[in-house]
Amino acid sequence: MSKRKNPFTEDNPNHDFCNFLMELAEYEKNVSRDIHKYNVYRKAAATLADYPSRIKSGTEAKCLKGIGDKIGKKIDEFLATGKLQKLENIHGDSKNEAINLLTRVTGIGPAKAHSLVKEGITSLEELNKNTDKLTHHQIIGLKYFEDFEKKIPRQEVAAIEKLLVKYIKNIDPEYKISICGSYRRGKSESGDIDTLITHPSWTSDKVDKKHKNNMLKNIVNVLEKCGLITDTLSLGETKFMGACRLDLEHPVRRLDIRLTPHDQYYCSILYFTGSDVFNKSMRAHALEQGFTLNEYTLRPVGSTGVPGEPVEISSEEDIFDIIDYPYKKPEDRNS
Amino acid sequence: MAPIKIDHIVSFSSEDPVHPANNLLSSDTSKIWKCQAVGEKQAIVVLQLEKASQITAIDIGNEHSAYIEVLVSRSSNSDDYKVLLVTSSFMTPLEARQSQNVNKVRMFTQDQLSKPECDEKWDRIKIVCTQPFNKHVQFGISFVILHSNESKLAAPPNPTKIGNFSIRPKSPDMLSAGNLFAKRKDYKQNDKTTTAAAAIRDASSSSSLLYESPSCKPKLSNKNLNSTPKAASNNEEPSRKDRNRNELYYDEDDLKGNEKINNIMNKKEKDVESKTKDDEKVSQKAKRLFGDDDDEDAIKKKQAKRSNLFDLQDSDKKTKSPRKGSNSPNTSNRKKEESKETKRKKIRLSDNKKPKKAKVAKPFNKLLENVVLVISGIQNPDRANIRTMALSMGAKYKTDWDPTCTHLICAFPNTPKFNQVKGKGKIVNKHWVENCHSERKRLPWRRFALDKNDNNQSESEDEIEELVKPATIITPVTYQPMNDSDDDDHKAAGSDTEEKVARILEKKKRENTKKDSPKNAMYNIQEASTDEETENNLSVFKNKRNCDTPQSSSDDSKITNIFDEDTDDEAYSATNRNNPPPDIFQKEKFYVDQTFDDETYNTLCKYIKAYNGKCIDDVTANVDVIVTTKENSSSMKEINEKAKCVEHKWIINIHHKQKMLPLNDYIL
Repeated sequence: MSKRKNPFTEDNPNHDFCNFLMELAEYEKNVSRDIHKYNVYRKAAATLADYPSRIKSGTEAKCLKGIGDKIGKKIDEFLATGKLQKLENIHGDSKNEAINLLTRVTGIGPAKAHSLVKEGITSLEELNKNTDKLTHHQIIGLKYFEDFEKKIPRQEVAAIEKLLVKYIKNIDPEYKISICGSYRRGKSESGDIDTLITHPSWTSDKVDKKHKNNMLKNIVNVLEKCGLITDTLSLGETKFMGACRLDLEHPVRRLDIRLTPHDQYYCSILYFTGSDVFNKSMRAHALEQGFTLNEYTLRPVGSTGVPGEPVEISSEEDIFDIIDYPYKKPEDRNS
Repeated sequence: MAPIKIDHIVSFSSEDPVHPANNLLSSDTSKIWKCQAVGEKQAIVVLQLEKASQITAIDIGNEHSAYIEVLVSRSSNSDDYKVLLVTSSFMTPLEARQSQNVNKVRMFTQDQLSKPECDEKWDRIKIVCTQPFNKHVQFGISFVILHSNESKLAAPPNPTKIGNFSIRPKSPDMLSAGNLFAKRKDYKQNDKTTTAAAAIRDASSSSSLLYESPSCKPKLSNKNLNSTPKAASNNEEPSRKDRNRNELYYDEDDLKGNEKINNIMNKKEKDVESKTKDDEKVSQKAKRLFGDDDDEDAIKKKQAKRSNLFDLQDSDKKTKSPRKGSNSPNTSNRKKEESKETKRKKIRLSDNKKPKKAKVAKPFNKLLENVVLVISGIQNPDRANIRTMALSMGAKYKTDWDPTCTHLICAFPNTPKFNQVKGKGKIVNKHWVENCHSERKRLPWRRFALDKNDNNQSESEDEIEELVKPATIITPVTYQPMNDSDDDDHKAAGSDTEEKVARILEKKKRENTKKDSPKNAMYNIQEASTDEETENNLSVFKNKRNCDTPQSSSDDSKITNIFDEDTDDEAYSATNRNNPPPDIFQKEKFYVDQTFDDETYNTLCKYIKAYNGKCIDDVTANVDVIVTTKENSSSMKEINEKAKCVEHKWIINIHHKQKMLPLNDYIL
């Protein structure tokens, strides 16, 4: 998941509302650390982004799903004054600004940012002097701060995808590789590269066994040798987080690779394609239909709420089909 | 594992008047329970057990439900249901919409049940069925069987019957390692024999092709069996086995053969016998035997009776040899007499020993030859596994039943195929194939019979005994004076099968150069079959045979010689049986891939240890050989570059050959 999600482009009529809602959301997440408010703002922003015409009043907005009294009032305020007092206050507080800045470094979350700010570290420069307080992950995040902030053009993701497929299939042609995230949703630019890999021999019943799995390590090794992967933030049996670069002309990019059990591949693809707002609504729908959906499995829910056996799934469409949810192509899952 | 009795239906959400919930109390699997209206959200039935029991396994037969969940509680606090079996899929959405496979059966074992619920006792069961994918059907279940292991101790050695399911007695592959290898010795011994008998067997294998019909073998074997009463034996064992053979090979239906046919058969056989050893007669007879199904019934009937007469026969036998001796004009005649006797015994014994011999005499890939099987009600991956195993043992597989098929491998009674095949073929559960495969021998199918009728013919314990007992134990002490012939018997017993005998006879018959001896052999068999039931017949026969002896003496001795050759081998195997397995691996260190299924894994470890190898759990340690699969070999190599990766077949084959095999042939 990229650090800053901003799914709302200039071309939608309500993008300015979306922007201030997203700013509020970020504030709630990073400073107030209230994930629920964060979600409320994001959901409202997503709804507005989907709305085909310009909102004229808070009352009109309140008719939409996910927008209540308070956000309606904020829209009215924004319409009347062109700004939000709450946001102005937030921006006026240097502590808040510092926290917001620090959380933009990958590996630094709200909590770490808080403690850093408490210790008086409020800028990247100061952070650079205090790398002893940072983990390996955070140091890399700091090192490539500028690069990681940059959006990745679609063509570059496509080029990296080509390389990934080439090298990984070279190890074993049976690997399936797909890049999920915003790239799969057809976005023109992405924040990071979310790669999902599976192999027919790697199934969920083997995950529990103590049997060591070196597939991902091998893959990362190969990709490091050929220079695609430049840094590793973390590497486990099934998840790699790190950085890659197409060549020296291009910035370093965030790359995640996940090795998914073959039988959970489609649930994972669905999950990592997102968007997260879409995922949430789909999961809610699944629950209404008596199923529970997560990044691993789709399971029927029993009469006492205990999830049952995973349903066998052989495509993304299967998941939509089973929970009776109209199929949406990845490009249509932006909200 | 015993079934838990369901006392009554406590409650249900709804029931179809035609398919009420009470049907679940019936053991008749055609009686099902369905909800009343189409498109109900869920169908619930609550059952009261006879007493609080620990549930260790659940079998559920579906009736159009997509998901089924099983909850448990105790009637003292009956609202507090805990999940015992999580919502489990019985139909895919596609199947549900198209109403296909509506009667899937799934059998859940303890490890599939929720913990800790499966360790506690419950007396109330709630079953919740849902069908979210098809709103136009009534759904429910066709049966539910709950198993508990509580009455295990009280369970009789005979297979326990639960409705239409038969519970196999303790798995025969639970042999101790030593036992296993002791037996192994025997096999090996027999495999090695390069005797005339083996030669004949080999030579005759081509003729086996002529007798594709699966029914021909059992029939011939019947003929052989009928010689038992006359063959002298003081030992109880063979005869008990005889009795089993009957049960093993024939359905209850078969045994209902009618007396008339029976008598006609007897007469005919006697006619044939009394006339001459005319080749033509013999072949005619053979034709009749092979061609006519009724004959089979009759013979079986006879056999059943014969086994009852065993005691009589036994006592008769004790007095037999002396009598014979006095009847014989001179010692040479007597010798011949004996050899003839021997030959007959041999045939009988070989017949008795069939399951054991099958694995001995036949290569693994021919164990199930002439078996044409169809699979029903078993899902992948089991289905594929069973098919692969069966094919590897030489069976043929067909998708649908046709008259050439012999066995139906079936998960549970009342599948469409089950009903189709019932009465026509042998219906067994999958363990038949699995156990044949794991024990590397053709086991009697009836032990695994699924059909009620087949089960009703309870198997005697001797059956099991036979499996475990080494062949040589049978050596009857009282036969010491006739040592030679005795040994012949054992040798034959250890190396031949009734099919083989049949084929040999057939082959011989057609070989003009060896005309005499085959005639004789065939003749003896026929003789034997003619006088099965009464002692009178026996003595008549004996007298007759004494008269015959001079004519056939040369033939007899010929055959005897053939079987004489093996005598030493048998003794060798008897002494060798208790020797430790050879030190093949010489303390090499092995790592066995843990992705093998448990059974394979354990077997491999057992073999490795038995042949003085060492099993090591840590692959990264100083391991010499990694036993793994093709798929895993590359990753294994990465973990441990020094060790060699081999297929598990290497170990298995070493065990079978009892010697080191070139590693390079199995390297991955």
